[in-house]
Amino acid sequence: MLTVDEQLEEALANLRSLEADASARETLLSEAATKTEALTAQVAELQAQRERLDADLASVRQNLVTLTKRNEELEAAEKDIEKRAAKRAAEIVASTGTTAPAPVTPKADHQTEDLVSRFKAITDPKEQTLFWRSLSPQQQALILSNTATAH
Amino acid sequence: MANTLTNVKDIKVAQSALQPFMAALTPLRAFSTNFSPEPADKLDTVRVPVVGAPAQSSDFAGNYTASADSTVAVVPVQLNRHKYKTIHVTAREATETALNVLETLVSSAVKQLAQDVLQDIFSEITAANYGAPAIPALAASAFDYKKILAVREACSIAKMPVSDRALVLDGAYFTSLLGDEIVAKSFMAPIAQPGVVEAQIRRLAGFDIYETVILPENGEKLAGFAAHPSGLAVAMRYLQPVAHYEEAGAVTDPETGLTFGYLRYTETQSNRIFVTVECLYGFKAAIPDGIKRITRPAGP
Repeated sequence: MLTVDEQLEEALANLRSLEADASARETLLSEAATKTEALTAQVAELQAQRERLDADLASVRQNLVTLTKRNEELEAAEKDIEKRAAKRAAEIVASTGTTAPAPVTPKADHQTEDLVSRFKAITDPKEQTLFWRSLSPQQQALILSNTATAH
Repeated sequence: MANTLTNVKDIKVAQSALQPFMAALTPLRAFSTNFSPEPADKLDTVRVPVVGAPAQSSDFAGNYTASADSTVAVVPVQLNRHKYKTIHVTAREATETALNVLETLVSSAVKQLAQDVLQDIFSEITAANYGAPAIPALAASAFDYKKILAVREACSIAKMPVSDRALVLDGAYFTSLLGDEIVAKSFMAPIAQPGVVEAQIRRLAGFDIYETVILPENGEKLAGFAAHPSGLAVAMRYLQPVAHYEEAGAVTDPETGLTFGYLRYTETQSNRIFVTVECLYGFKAAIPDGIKRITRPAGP
């Protein structure tokens, strides 16, 4: 059987333990409240970002519409230039009084023209042999096809 | 008047023919030459430099020009030889064949022309010009490396310069040499077997070796000869045509100057295309000791 003092002592110990538990719970509640505040702030920030991105997207869409329209305008203008250039070229040719077609072929690139002109400028048999030997078979064929005259 | 072809088709045909022309005339490297595509007329004279053995050096006596000796002599060679070959194709032949008929025919003609020119030049190698043979007459079957050494000895006795020596041999003598034990084995290990595999002997006993099947006997059973460039002078030029041709020009190798003329013309009545290739040249024996002959025995 416990004495009155002993029972009092035990009751006081229980009280101290309960006070410690209450203090710990209070601390945990305080930390949770802090975290809640931080998360609330993040949510607010994300909402602001989303609003900015929505605004940017709307701006890009508007730009796309503008560029598409500009592109269509340029295509139309290019066709007009071609027409005007063709008309001007026809005027120039007509002013010369010629009716012969110009010798324009897909082969007439600058490299071939250069080879042919260099080849025609040779007047020394030694240089002619050296030049001919320096050509690849493809280049020889190119010169042949661009200067071909019947035997 | 220009001496250059202008039609590209003709140039292609002519350039294709230049290779066999040069190959057939390779033995001319054994002689002193003056080849050029410069125009010349028949019977013009060309000066061919002939480099022989230099004279003895002099003791210095206060002046370098004393006892001056030019080892380069000049032999005047008359361009008195003119050979040509003409081929023709009909327009139909030219168009109906996938093969380039004209190119093939011209190449063949040029090769034959070169052989005929070479044979003509070899006709100068006679006893009258170069004296007794280097070694006693022998059959092809007896020709071996030791005989080449004997020829070399004869050249040395005649004071033929050691450098730039060549040996031109008839095909039978060359073939006999291919079977010689020393020759076959000497080419075995270090050099890629040209003798046995390709039937080629490029150099032997200090000689550049050339095989020929067109060596004329010259009525003296000529079977080959050792030569130094000082032995024979050869000149070649382009004979510019006087008449008008559809295409005419010189075709030349820039390195050696070997040149042939190319002429193309059409006969409208028969619708045929003619191409003539020609060679203007001349030759003259120079230093007698520059060539030592090899002969086969008399008999059939």
